[in-house]
Amino acid sequence: MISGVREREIIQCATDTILDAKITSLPVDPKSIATSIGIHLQAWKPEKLGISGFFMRAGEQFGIGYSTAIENEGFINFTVGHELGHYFLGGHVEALIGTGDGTHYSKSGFVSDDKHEREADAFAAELLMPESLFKAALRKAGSGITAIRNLAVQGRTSLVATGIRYVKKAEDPVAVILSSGDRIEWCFLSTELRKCRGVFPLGKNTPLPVNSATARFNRAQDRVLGAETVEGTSSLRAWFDEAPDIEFQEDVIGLGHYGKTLTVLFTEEALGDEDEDEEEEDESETGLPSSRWRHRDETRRLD
Amino acid sequence: MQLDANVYRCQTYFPMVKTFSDRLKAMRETRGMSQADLAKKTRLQPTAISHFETGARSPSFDNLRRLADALNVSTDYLIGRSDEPILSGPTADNLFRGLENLSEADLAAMKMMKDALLAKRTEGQK
Repeated sequence: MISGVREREIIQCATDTILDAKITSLPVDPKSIATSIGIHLQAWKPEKLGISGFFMRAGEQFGIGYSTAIENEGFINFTVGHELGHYFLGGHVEALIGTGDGTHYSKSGFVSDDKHEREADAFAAELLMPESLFKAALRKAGSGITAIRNLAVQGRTSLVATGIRYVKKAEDPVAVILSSGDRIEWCFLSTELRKCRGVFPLGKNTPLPVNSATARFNRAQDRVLGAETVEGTSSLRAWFDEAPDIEFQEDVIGLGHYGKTLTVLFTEEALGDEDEDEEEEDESETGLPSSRWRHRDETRRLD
Repeated sequence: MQLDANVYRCQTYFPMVKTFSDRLKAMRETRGMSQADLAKKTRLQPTAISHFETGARSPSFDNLRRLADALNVSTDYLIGRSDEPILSGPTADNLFRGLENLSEADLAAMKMMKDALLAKRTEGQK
Protein backbone atom coordinates (compact mmCIF):
# COMPACT_ATOMS: atom_id res chain seq x y z
CA MET A 1 0.00 0.00 0.00
CA ILE A 2 1.40 3.39 -1.00
CA SER A 3 0.71 6.13 1.54
CA GLY A 4 -1.33 9.16 0.52
CA VAL A 5 1.67 11.46 0.89
CA ARG A 6 3.87 9.22 -1.21
CA GLU A 7 1.15 8.84 -3.83
CA ARG A 8 0.94 12.62 -4.19
CA GLU A 9 4.74 12.77 -4.57
CA ILE A 10 4.57 10.16 -7.33
CA ILE A 11 1.77 12.02 -9.12
CA GLN A 12 3.75 15.27 -8.88
CA CYS A 13 6.89 13.59 -10.18
CA ALA A 14 5.04 12.13 -13.19
CA THR A 15 3.33 15.48 -13.83
CA ASP A 16 6.69 17.29 -13.77
CA THR A 17 8.11 14.73 -16.19
CA ILE A 18 5.25 15.33 -18.62
CA LEU A 19 5.62 19.10 -18.31
CA ASP A 20 9.38 18.89 -18.90
CA ALA A 21 8.69 16.77 -21.99
CA LYS A 22 6.14 19.39 -23.16
CA ILE A 23 3.45 16.74 -23.67
CA THR A 24 -0.04 18.17 -23.99
CA SER A 25 -2.07 15.29 -25.46
CA LEU A 26 -2.32 11.52 -25.44
CA PRO A 27 -0.50 9.29 -26.15
CA VAL A 28 2.48 9.81 -23.87
CA ASP A 29 5.46 8.04 -25.43
CA PRO A 30 7.78 6.84 -22.65
CA LYS A 31 10.47 5.79 -25.12
CA SER A 32 10.71 9.35 -26.46
CA ILE A 33 10.97 10.68 -22.91
CA ALA A 34 13.77 8.22 -22.17
CA THR A 35 15.78 9.00 -25.28
CA SER A 36 15.29 12.76 -24.86
CA ILE A 37 17.20 12.60 -21.58
CA GLY A 38 19.90 10.32 -22.90
CA ILE A 39 18.67 7.01 -21.49
CA HIS A 40 19.81 4.14 -23.70
CA LEU A 41 16.93 1.86 -24.80
CA GLN A 42 17.34 -1.73 -25.79
CA ALA A 43 14.72 -4.30 -26.78
CA TRP A 44 15.26 -8.02 -26.70
CA LYS A 45 13.10 -10.95 -27.62
CA PRO A 46 13.47 -14.04 -25.44
CA GLU A 47 12.04 -17.34 -26.60
CA LYS A 48 9.77 -17.58 -23.60
CA LEU A 49 8.28 -15.17 -21.08
CA GLY A 50 10.77 -13.96 -18.50
CA ILE A 51 11.41 -10.53 -17.07
CA SER A 52 9.58 -7.69 -18.78
CA GLY A 53 12.22 -5.02 -18.29
CA PHE A 54 15.24 -3.79 -16.38
CA PHE A 55 16.96 -0.56 -15.47
CA MET A 56 20.72 -0.23 -15.48
CA ARG A 57 23.29 2.38 -14.52
CA ALA A 58 26.96 2.62 -15.38
CA GLY A 59 28.29 5.80 -13.83
CA GLU A 60 26.51 8.63 -15.60
CA GLN A 61 25.00 6.39 -18.26
CA PHE A 62 21.54 4.90 -17.82
CA GLY A 63 19.74 2.26 -19.78
CA ILE A 64 16.33 0.62 -19.95
CA GLY A 65 15.85 -2.82 -21.42
CA TYR A 66 12.42 -4.11 -22.40
CA SER A 67 11.31 -7.53 -23.53
CA THR A 68 9.22 -7.92 -26.67
CA ALA A 69 8.13 -11.45 -25.68
CA ILE A 70 4.64 -10.02 -25.37
CA GLU A 71 4.14 -8.09 -28.59
CA ASN A 72 1.78 -5.55 -27.18
CA GLU A 73 2.62 -1.87 -27.48
CA GLY A 74 0.67 -0.99 -24.35
CA PHE A 75 2.45 -3.61 -22.27
CA ILE A 76 5.86 -2.45 -23.54
CA ASN A 77 5.00 1.20 -22.89
CA PHE A 78 4.02 0.34 -19.35
CA THR A 79 7.29 -1.54 -18.85
CA VAL A 80 9.34 1.44 -20.06
CA GLY A 81 7.20 3.79 -17.94
CA HIS A 82 7.82 1.57 -14.94
CA GLU A 83 11.60 1.63 -15.46
CA LEU A 84 11.45 5.43 -15.85
CA GLY A 85 9.80 5.42 -12.43
CA HIS A 86 12.97 3.92 -10.98
CA TYR A 87 14.93 6.73 -12.64
CA PHE A 88 12.73 9.66 -11.64
CA LEU A 89 11.46 8.71 -8.19
CA GLY A 90 13.37 9.75 -5.11
CA GLY A 91 14.43 6.92 -2.83
CA HIS A 92 15.09 4.41 -5.60
CA VAL A 93 18.82 5.13 -5.65
CA GLU A 94 19.23 3.31 -2.34
CA ALA A 95 17.17 0.42 -3.67
CA LEU A 96 19.58 -0.01 -6.53
CA ILE A 97 22.88 0.89 -5.01
CA GLY A 98 22.59 0.17 -1.30
CA THR A 99 25.54 0.89 0.90
CA GLY A 100 27.79 2.89 -1.33
CA ASP A 101 30.60 0.43 -0.53
CA GLY A 102 30.62 -1.00 -4.03
CA THR A 103 28.25 -3.83 -3.25
CA HIS A 104 25.76 -4.71 -5.96
CA TYR A 105 22.32 -5.62 -4.81
CA SER A 106 20.99 -6.59 -8.18
CA LYS A 107 20.54 -10.22 -7.29
CA SER A 108 19.09 -9.89 -3.83
CA GLY A 109 15.40 -9.69 -3.10
CA PHE A 110 16.16 -6.24 -1.76
CA VAL A 111 16.29 -4.51 -5.13
CA SER A 112 13.01 -5.96 -6.29
CA ASP A 113 11.39 -4.93 -3.05
CA ASP A 114 7.65 -4.75 -3.61
CA LYS A 115 7.43 -1.19 -2.35
CA HIS A 116 9.67 0.12 -5.11
CA GLU A 117 7.93 -1.99 -7.74
CA ARG A 118 4.54 -0.67 -6.68
CA GLU A 119 5.81 2.89 -6.73
CA ALA A 120 7.25 2.42 -10.22
CA ASP A 121 3.92 0.96 -11.39
CA ALA A 122 2.05 3.93 -9.93
CA PHE A 123 4.47 6.29 -11.68
CA ALA A 124 3.95 4.49 -15.01
CA ALA A 125 0.17 4.80 -14.70
CA GLU A 126 0.42 8.52 -13.90
CA LEU A 127 2.92 9.09 -16.69
CA LEU A 128 1.06 7.23 -19.43
CA MET A 129 -2.43 8.25 -18.35
CA PRO A 130 -2.06 11.64 -16.63
CA GLU A 131 -5.23 12.63 -14.86
CA SER A 132 -5.96 15.81 -16.79
CA LEU A 133 -5.58 14.19 -20.21
CA PHE A 134 -7.14 10.88 -19.19
CA LYS A 135 -10.24 12.42 -17.63
CA ALA A 136 -10.89 14.51 -20.73
CA ALA A 137 -10.63 11.37 -22.85
CA LEU A 138 -12.77 9.41 -20.38
CA ARG A 139 -15.71 11.76 -20.84
CA LYS A 140 -15.84 10.92 -24.55
CA ALA A 141 -14.89 7.25 -24.31
CA GLY A 142 -18.30 5.62 -23.75
CA SER A 143 -18.70 2.95 -21.08
CA GLY A 144 -17.66 -0.59 -20.23
CA ILE A 145 -15.16 -2.42 -22.41
CA THR A 146 -15.82 0.07 -25.21
CA ALA A 147 -14.51 2.87 -23.01
CA ILE A 148 -11.45 0.89 -21.96
CA ARG A 149 -10.66 -0.04 -25.54
CA ASN A 150 -11.05 3.55 -26.75
CA LEU A 151 -8.85 4.85 -23.96
CA ALA A 152 -6.24 2.13 -24.55
CA VAL A 153 -6.05 3.05 -28.22
CA GLN A 154 -5.70 6.75 -27.45
CA GLY A 155 -3.10 6.25 -24.75
CA ARG A 156 -1.33 3.28 -26.39
CA THR A 157 -1.67 1.47 -23.12
CA SER A 158 -2.65 -2.11 -22.32
CA LEU A 159 -6.26 -3.06 -21.63
CA VAL A 160 -5.37 -4.12 -18.09
CA ALA A 161 -3.49 -0.93 -17.15
CA THR A 162 -6.19 1.17 -18.81
CA GLY A 163 -8.94 -0.78 -17.05
CA ILE A 164 -7.40 -0.10 -13.65
CA ARG A 165 -7.03 3.59 -14.48
CA TYR A 166 -10.59 3.71 -15.85
CA VAL A 167 -12.15 2.32 -12.68
CA LYS A 168 -10.12 4.66 -10.49
CA LYS A 169 -11.22 7.75 -12.40
CA ALA A 170 -14.77 6.74 -13.38
CA GLU A 171 -17.58 8.78 -11.90
CA ASP A 172 -20.15 5.99 -12.41
CA PRO A 173 -20.54 2.75 -10.41
CA VAL A 174 -17.98 0.44 -12.06
CA ALA A 175 -16.05 -2.70 -11.13
CA VAL A 176 -13.12 -4.06 -13.14
CA ILE A 177 -12.26 -7.69 -12.48
CA LEU A 178 -9.41 -9.88 -13.74
CA SER A 179 -10.08 -13.61 -13.72
CA SER A 180 -8.74 -16.89 -14.98
CA GLY A 181 -10.61 -20.19 -14.95
CA ASP A 182 -13.31 -20.01 -12.32
CA ARG A 183 -11.41 -17.66 -9.99
CA ILE A 184 -10.96 -13.92 -9.56
CA GLU A 185 -7.39 -12.60 -9.49
CA TRP A 186 -8.17 -9.04 -8.50
CA CYS A 187 -11.00 -6.53 -8.45
CA PHE A 188 -11.06 -2.73 -8.42
CA LEU A 189 -14.14 -0.65 -7.64
CA SER A 190 -14.95 2.94 -8.58
CA THR A 191 -15.54 5.42 -5.78
CA GLU A 192 -19.23 5.52 -6.64
CA LEU A 193 -19.65 1.76 -6.46
CA ARG A 194 -17.82 1.62 -3.12
CA LYS A 195 -20.60 3.74 -1.67
CA CYS A 196 -23.11 1.01 -2.42
CA ARG A 197 -24.16 -1.14 0.51
CA GLY A 198 -22.50 -4.54 0.65
CA VAL A 199 -19.97 -3.89 -2.10
CA PHE A 200 -16.34 -4.59 -1.23
CA PRO A 201 -13.33 -5.51 -3.40
CA LEU A 202 -13.39 -9.23 -4.15
CA GLY A 203 -10.23 -10.95 -2.98
CA LYS A 204 -7.84 -13.15 -4.92
CA ASN A 205 -9.22 -16.66 -5.52
CA THR A 206 -12.83 -15.68 -4.90
CA PRO A 207 -14.95 -17.96 -7.15
CA LEU A 208 -16.68 -16.30 -10.09
CA PRO A 209 -20.49 -16.31 -9.87
CA VAL A 210 -21.33 -19.64 -11.54
CA ASN A 211 -23.93 -18.30 -13.94
CA SER A 212 -22.19 -15.05 -14.81
CA ALA A 213 -21.23 -14.26 -18.39
CA THR A 214 -17.60 -14.25 -17.25
CA ALA A 215 -17.74 -17.76 -15.77
CA ARG A 216 -19.38 -19.11 -18.93
CA PHE A 217 -16.83 -17.29 -21.10
CA ASN A 218 -13.88 -18.69 -19.16
CA ARG A 219 -15.07 -22.26 -19.64
CA ALA A 220 -14.05 -21.91 -23.31
CA GLN A 221 -10.33 -21.14 -23.20
CA ASP A 222 -10.21 -20.61 -26.96
CA ARG A 223 -12.46 -17.59 -26.52
CA VAL A 224 -10.00 -16.15 -23.98
CA LEU A 225 -7.03 -16.81 -26.26
CA GLY A 226 -8.94 -15.43 -29.23
CA ALA A 227 -9.54 -12.13 -27.39
CA GLU A 228 -13.28 -12.45 -27.96
CA THR A 229 -15.79 -10.22 -26.22
CA VAL A 230 -19.27 -10.83 -24.88
CA GLU A 231 -21.83 -8.55 -23.35
CA GLY A 232 -24.21 -9.76 -20.67
CA THR A 233 -26.01 -8.61 -17.57
CA SER A 234 -25.63 -9.59 -13.93
CA SER A 235 -27.29 -8.81 -10.70
CA LEU A 236 -24.87 -6.90 -8.49
CA ARG A 237 -25.84 -9.36 -5.77
CA ALA A 238 -24.54 -12.27 -7.81
CA TRP A 239 -21.07 -10.79 -7.39
CA PHE A 240 -21.42 -9.23 -3.95
CA ASP A 241 -23.56 -11.26 -1.54
CA GLU A 242 -24.77 -8.33 0.55
CA ALA A 243 -25.35 -5.90 -2.30
CA PRO A 244 -28.75 -4.75 -3.59
CA ASP A 245 -30.33 -6.73 -6.41
CA ILE A 246 -29.57 -4.24 -9.18
CA GLU A 247 -28.95 -5.18 -12.78
CA PHE A 248 -25.48 -4.28 -14.08
CA GLN A 249 -24.02 -4.59 -17.57
CA GLU A 250 -21.31 -7.25 -17.68
CA ASP A 251 -18.77 -6.76 -20.48
CA VAL A 252 -16.19 -9.51 -20.85
CA ILE A 253 -13.04 -9.63 -22.99
CA GLY A 254 -10.38 -12.33 -23.33
CA LEU A 255 -6.83 -11.05 -23.07
CA GLY A 256 -5.33 -13.36 -25.69
CA HIS A 257 -2.02 -15.04 -24.87
CA TYR A 258 -2.07 -13.45 -21.43
CA GLY A 259 -4.64 -16.19 -20.76
CA LYS A 260 -6.82 -14.10 -18.48
CA THR A 261 -10.14 -12.33 -18.78
CA LEU A 262 -11.11 -8.75 -18.04
CA THR A 263 -14.66 -8.06 -16.89
CA VAL A 264 -16.32 -4.68 -16.47
CA LEU A 265 -19.49 -4.42 -14.38
CA PHE A 266 -21.17 -1.08 -14.80
CA THR A 267 -24.44 0.76 -14.88
CA GLU A 268 -25.35 4.18 -16.06
CA GLU A 269 -28.40 4.15 -13.81
CA ALA A 270 -28.26 5.92 -10.46
CA LEU A 271 -28.01 3.51 -7.54
CA GLY A 272 -31.20 4.50 -5.81
CA ASP A 273 -34.18 2.86 -4.20
CA GLU A 274 -33.93 -0.64 -5.64
CA ASP A 275 -33.57 -2.14 -2.21
CA GLU A 276 -35.52 0.37 -0.22
CA ASP A 277 -38.05 -2.08 1.19
CA GLU A 278 -35.36 -4.40 2.36
CA GLU A 279 -33.36 -1.56 3.88
CA GLU A 280 -36.36 -0.31 5.81
CA GLU A 281 -36.88 -3.75 7.29
CA ASP A 282 -33.24 -3.82 8.29
CA GLU A 283 -33.53 -0.37 9.82
CA SER A 284 -36.35 -1.52 12.09
CA GLU A 285 -34.16 -4.42 13.17
CA THR A 286 -31.28 -2.29 14.26
CA GLY A 287 -32.89 1.01 15.12
CA LEU A 288 -29.49 2.65 15.08
CA PRO A 289 -27.66 4.59 12.42
CA SER A 290 -24.53 2.88 11.10
CA SER A 291 -22.11 3.24 8.27
CA ARG A 292 -24.41 0.99 6.31
CA TRP A 293 -27.22 3.51 6.52
CA ARG A 294 -24.94 6.36 5.74
CA HIS A 295 -24.03 4.53 2.53
CA ARG A 296 -27.69 4.30 1.68
CA ASP A 297 -28.18 8.04 2.28
CA GLU A 298 -25.30 8.83 -0.01
CA THR A 299 -26.75 6.72 -2.78
CA ARG A 300 -30.13 8.34 -2.35
CA ARG A 301 -28.66 11.74 -2.95
CA LEU A 302 -27.98 10.55 -6.49
CA ASP A 303 -31.68 10.55 -7.30
CA MET B 1 15.88 -14.39 9.11
CA GLN B 2 13.44 -11.78 7.90
CA LEU B 3 14.37 -9.58 10.84
CA ASP B 4 18.06 -9.82 9.94
CA ALA B 5 17.25 -8.70 6.43
CA ASN B 6 15.27 -5.72 7.66
CA VAL B 7 17.98 -4.65 10.09
CA TYR B 8 20.54 -4.95 7.33
CA ARG B 9 18.38 -2.84 5.12
CA CYS B 10 18.15 -0.08 7.72
CA GLN B 11 21.89 -0.18 8.16
CA THR B 12 22.49 0.01 4.45
CA TYR B 13 20.16 2.87 3.68
CA PHE B 14 21.67 5.26 6.15
CA PRO B 15 25.33 5.39 5.05
CA MET B 16 24.43 6.22 1.46
CA VAL B 17 22.16 9.07 2.45
CA LYS B 18 24.70 10.39 4.95
CA THR B 19 27.58 10.13 2.47
CA PHE B 20 25.51 11.80 -0.23
CA SER B 21 24.43 14.66 2.03
CA ASP B 22 27.95 15.31 3.28
CA ARG B 23 29.58 15.09 -0.12
CA LEU B 24 26.96 17.21 -1.83
CA LYS B 25 27.38 20.00 0.69
CA ALA B 26 31.19 19.77 0.65
CA MET B 27 31.40 19.81 -3.15
CA ARG B 28 28.93 22.69 -3.41
CA GLU B 29 31.05 24.72 -0.99
CA THR B 30 34.26 23.71 -2.76
CA ARG B 31 32.78 25.00 -6.01
CA GLY B 32 31.83 28.24 -4.24
CA MET B 33 28.12 27.85 -4.92
CA SER B 34 25.18 28.75 -2.73
CA GLN B 35 22.22 26.40 -2.52
CA ALA B 36 20.35 28.84 -4.76
CA ASP B 37 23.19 28.77 -7.32
CA LEU B 38 23.14 24.99 -7.41
CA ALA B 39 19.36 24.93 -7.61
CA LYS B 40 19.44 27.24 -10.60
CA LYS B 41 22.10 25.21 -12.36
CA THR B 42 20.26 21.94 -11.82
CA ARG B 43 16.75 23.33 -12.38
CA LEU B 44 15.74 22.03 -8.95
CA GLN B 45 14.04 23.91 -6.14
CA PRO B 46 16.41 25.49 -3.55
CA THR B 47 14.46 23.63 -0.87
CA ALA B 48 15.30 20.35 -2.61
CA ILE B 49 19.03 21.13 -2.34
CA SER B 50 18.57 21.98 1.33
CA HIS B 51 16.64 18.75 1.93
CA PHE B 52 19.30 16.70 0.17
CA GLU B 53 22.03 18.28 2.32
CA THR B 54 20.20 17.64 5.56
CA GLY B 55 19.27 14.11 4.53
CA ALA B 56 15.57 14.91 4.78
CA ARG B 57 15.01 13.82 1.19
CA SER B 58 16.55 11.09 -0.93
CA PRO B 59 17.58 11.96 -4.49
CA SER B 60 16.34 10.24 -7.61
CA PHE B 61 18.76 9.11 -10.30
CA ASP B 62 17.63 12.12 -12.30
CA ASN B 63 18.46 14.46 -9.40
CA LEU B 64 21.77 12.71 -8.92
CA ARG B 65 22.77 13.11 -12.53
CA ARG B 66 21.87 16.81 -12.61
CA LEU B 67 23.79 17.46 -9.39
CA ALA B 68 26.86 15.56 -10.60
CA ASP B 69 26.81 17.49 -13.90
CA ALA B 70 26.48 20.83 -12.14
CA LEU B 71 29.27 20.08 -9.68
CA ASN B 72 31.45 18.39 -12.28
CA VAL B 73 31.90 15.24 -10.21
CA SER B 74 30.91 11.64 -10.77
CA THR B 75 27.63 10.26 -9.51
CA ASP B 76 29.63 7.43 -7.93
CA TYR B 77 31.51 9.96 -5.83
CA LEU B 78 28.36 11.69 -4.65
CA ILE B 79 26.77 8.45 -3.47
CA GLY B 80 29.96 7.14 -1.90
CA ARG B 81 30.78 4.38 -4.35
CA SER B 82 34.07 6.01 -5.22
CA ASP B 83 36.40 8.25 -3.27
CA GLU B 84 37.59 9.92 -6.44
CA PRO B 85 35.45 12.89 -7.51
CA ILE B 86 36.17 12.14 -11.16
CA LEU B 87 34.78 9.20 -13.13
CA SER B 88 36.31 5.88 -12.18
CA GLY B 89 35.92 2.14 -12.45
CA PRO B 90 33.81 0.27 -14.99
CA THR B 91 30.85 -0.76 -12.88
CA ALA B 92 27.18 -1.20 -13.62
CA ASP B 93 24.11 -1.74 -11.49
CA ASN B 94 20.82 -3.06 -12.60
CA LEU B 95 17.33 -3.24 -11.27
CA PHE B 96 14.78 -5.46 -12.84
CA ARG B 97 11.49 -7.21 -12.33
CA GLY B 98 10.86 -10.90 -11.85
CA LEU B 99 14.35 -11.94 -10.76
CA GLU B 100 13.21 -15.49 -10.31
CA ASN B 101 12.43 -15.74 -14.02
CA LEU B 102 15.83 -14.75 -15.41
CA SER B 103 16.66 -16.76 -18.50
CA GLU B 104 19.84 -16.99 -20.56
CA ALA B 105 18.26 -14.60 -23.06
CA ASP B 106 17.51 -12.10 -20.28
CA LEU B 107 21.06 -12.31 -18.99
CA ALA B 108 22.43 -11.88 -22.52
CA ALA B 109 20.29 -8.75 -22.95
CA MET B 110 21.65 -7.35 -19.69
CA LYS B 111 25.21 -8.09 -20.74
CA MET B 112 24.60 -6.30 -24.04
CA MET B 113 23.17 -3.28 -22.23
CA LYS B 114 26.04 -3.22 -19.77
CA ASP B 115 28.57 -3.26 -22.61
CA ALA B 116 26.70 -0.48 -24.42
CA LEU B 117 26.59 1.73 -21.32
CA LEU B 118 30.22 1.15 -20.44
CA ALA B 119 31.19 1.98 -24.03
CA LYS B 120 29.18 5.21 -23.86
CA ARG B 121 30.80 5.99 -20.55
CA THR B 122 34.28 5.41 -21.90
CA GLU B 123 33.41 7.57 -24.90
CA GLY B 124 32.29 10.33 -22.56
CA GLN B 125 35.55 10.22 -20.61
CA LYS B 126 37.72 10.77 -23.71
